Amino acid sequence: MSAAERLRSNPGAVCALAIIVALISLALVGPLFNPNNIESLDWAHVAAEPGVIGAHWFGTDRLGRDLFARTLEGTRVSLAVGLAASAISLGVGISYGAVAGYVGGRTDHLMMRFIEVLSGLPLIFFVIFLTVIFGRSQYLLFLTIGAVGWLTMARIVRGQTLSIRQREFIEAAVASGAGSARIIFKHVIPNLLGPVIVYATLTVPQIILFESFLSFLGLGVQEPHSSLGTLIAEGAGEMEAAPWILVVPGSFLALLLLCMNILGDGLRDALDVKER
Amino acid sequence: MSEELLKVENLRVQFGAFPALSDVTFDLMPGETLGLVGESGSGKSTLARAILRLLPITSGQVHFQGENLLSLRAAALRRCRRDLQIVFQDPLASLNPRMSVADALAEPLKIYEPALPARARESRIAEMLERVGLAADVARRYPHEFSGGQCQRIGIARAMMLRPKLLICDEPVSSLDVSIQGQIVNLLADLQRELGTAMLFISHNLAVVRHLSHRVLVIYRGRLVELAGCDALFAAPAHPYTRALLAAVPHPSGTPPDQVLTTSEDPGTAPANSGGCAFHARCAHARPACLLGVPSLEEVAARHFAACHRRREVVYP
Amino acid sequence: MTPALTIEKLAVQFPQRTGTIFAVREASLSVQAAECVGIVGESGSGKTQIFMAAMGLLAAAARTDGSVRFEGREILGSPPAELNRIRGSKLTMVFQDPMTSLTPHLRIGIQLAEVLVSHSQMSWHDAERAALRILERVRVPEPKRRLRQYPHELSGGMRQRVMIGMSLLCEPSLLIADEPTTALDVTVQAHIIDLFRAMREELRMAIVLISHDLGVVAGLADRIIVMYGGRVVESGRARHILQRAEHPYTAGLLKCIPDLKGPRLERMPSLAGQAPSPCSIERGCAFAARCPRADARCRVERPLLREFPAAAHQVACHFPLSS
Repeated sequence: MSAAERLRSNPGAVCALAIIVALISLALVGPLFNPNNIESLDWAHVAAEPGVIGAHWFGTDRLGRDLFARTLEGTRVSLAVGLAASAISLGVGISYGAVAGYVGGRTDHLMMRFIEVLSGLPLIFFVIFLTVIFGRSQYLLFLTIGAVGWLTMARIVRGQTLSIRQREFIEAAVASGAGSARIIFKHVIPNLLGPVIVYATLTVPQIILFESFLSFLGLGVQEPHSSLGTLIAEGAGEMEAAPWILVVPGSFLALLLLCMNILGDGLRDALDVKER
Repeated sequence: MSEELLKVENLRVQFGAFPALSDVTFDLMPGETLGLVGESGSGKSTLARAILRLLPITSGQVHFQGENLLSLRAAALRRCRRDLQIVFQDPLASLNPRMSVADALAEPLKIYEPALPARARESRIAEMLERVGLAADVARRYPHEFSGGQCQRIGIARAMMLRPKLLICDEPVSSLDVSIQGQIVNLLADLQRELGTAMLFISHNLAVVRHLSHRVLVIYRGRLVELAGCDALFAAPAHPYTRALLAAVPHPSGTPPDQVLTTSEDPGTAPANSGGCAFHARCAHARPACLLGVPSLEEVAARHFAACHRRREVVYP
Repeated sequence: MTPALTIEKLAVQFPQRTGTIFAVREASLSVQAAECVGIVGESGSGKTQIFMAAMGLLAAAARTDGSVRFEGREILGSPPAELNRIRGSKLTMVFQDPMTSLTPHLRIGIQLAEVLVSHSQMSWHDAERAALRILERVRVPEPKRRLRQYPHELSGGMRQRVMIGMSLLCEPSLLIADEPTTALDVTVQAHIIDLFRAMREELRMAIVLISHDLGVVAGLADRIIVMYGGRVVESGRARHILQRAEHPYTAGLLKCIPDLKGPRLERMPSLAGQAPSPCSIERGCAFAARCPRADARCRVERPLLREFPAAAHQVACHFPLSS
């Protein structure tokens, strides 16, 4: 039974995947159905409850901005940051970890010490430091978060590489005359993709959460753009008077994270099972 | 200029304090099959990997096609590997589970003949699959879909893709069912006849070695104890260990094996280098003199060598 | 005299999402008291699964059918608590890989004594003395020292002797040995076979010896049962089978046993093709695809086990060799 089939037969994972796809579709396509955009201020309906009037389906915030549009934009931004940062951390982490694990010896030693040093640095100061130097931009956000996320990935990949390296088909590849680069990229990495994909899907929610946290602190996405984090920050301030400003983006974030975690678990079950 | 394909001299491999191989010296001619017989702990797999430089060598020389393998740097060594291939004991484990059979067979071609167009590559793969007795549609599939015997054929196909001059076979049939072993052994014999490949055939199974080998080497605890032509070795073994090995093989007719010729089992933890003959503790013919110095391979008959202190004294039935 | 073990129409299946694995399609056999029966077959023939079923050691997903009676009492499907009374004491099993059968972090002496203490009411002190005696019996050199050692400090052959000793502690009626020498060197194997022979003579217990190697079985068994494709295809007295096998598969296996004293053969004997997968659907005789004597009838009609040529000999073949 292939991995795809195993995944399909896991109702929780299938459900989670469907919801994620639905959320992404909504985030991409939703604005087409809504006349409001993220910046327009509707003074007539300030802090309005969710309703049909003025097509403010999710209500408006303190400044009259439509929450539907903003939430969808927030979802887009959070997902973009999450996926982009994960991609960076995957790319860097896998290469780094596989090389360290395969080459071994002093090189491995040095490479891992480097990671340990980086892990020891307080993350927030690092981000603040970079923000101060380079200003606030979305791309910087991708880079800094990705730059941090790759550390764990590299460690995981190195561990997997160490065990794969002992397997006989690696010896066979060496005996065939394959060079180290070919072995790492054609033999080692394809065989550790299982656990890596699983960790990646579990990292995406972590990264989104981290980005939300940064935005909550005011370090991430800036006005007039929003991410789920900034929306939640705003909403927290209006909790008593206009709870929907918090509840709507909060639910989106919670649902997204929950589904990604469930999908990640499902992927692990589907991929980690030994073939045959 | 020597004509040996492979020449191993005084090879020593030590893992920490443990002597895996000591003073191993032999040569192999082109087109010849040299059988290497030994039990677990004898160092036979270590020898295969040492020759291929898959593990580090403590001292000694390995010459292949006249070149000193141990002094070659990475690129030159890779060039040599083209002619020096190996078939492993566990056929499934030696294949990358994520690579299709076609990918696995294409890899040697991609490494050594990168300019070869895809079409030509495919036809070479198809030709090799046919040669090892597999259907052409096997190429699309993955190793886990095949039985042990079929996987071993794939492994052999991969090793033979570039027509190596020397094929090292490390226990290639030991993990296969008895009724399948002959298929693989006969395949190897056919390939040797068709392509002129020399073979170093390593096994603990004497019967299998007998089928394929021109000459046979017997190894015990890291040292060579006997070397002879195949028929000579089986007809008149000159070393007590070889005799014990032959006597221990159960006989098909149901009569109990000849008297068990080893006095005890392998001591296991006793060090092999406590001076003197390593087989001393289990040898039915051992004398105190056997403890004085390690015996070396000496001629006992025409082109028949044994490493035994008592080779001139003991008369075997 | 009640047979030590009677198995009737035993079937073992593992239902999976992709289809069922028929580990044992149907097998019946019996082992008399003090008899040594050799079970021969290749991987996938079901020879191990039959006895795993008898011992109640099958994976939880297994479905069984049929009956297994030990000394007259039905044990198939018994709850573990009941099985534990006979397992390890009257009905014991020795496995192929002694390293994984012995607990790595406990000393040999403790593992041996534990068997006695849990099955009989012996004190630890007496149990350790009995353990020492059993080590002597299975000819482990320096037994006192070995008692205090850990499994990894012993060689493979030594560990297997310890396992055999452990299975003899409570004087079992039946010892099942599953490929006991396969993982061992041939010189060590010879010693273990010798040990089995001595045990048989001294203890008068029934032994089931499972092996893919007819040569190993040949030296010890009174009767031989040959399995193929999850069924019994031939059974009879060892001498008869070895000298005049009736089933083409058995004959093929016999040809594959090397005769080192005979002349060197051009081609190494083997059987063409490969054994059927336990997942496949049966159609006709499982061996038909590889059988040199097969014809249309064999591919369609599965041969039943019948007595041929004499009473004590059974064969499942439409065209046995002496017909």
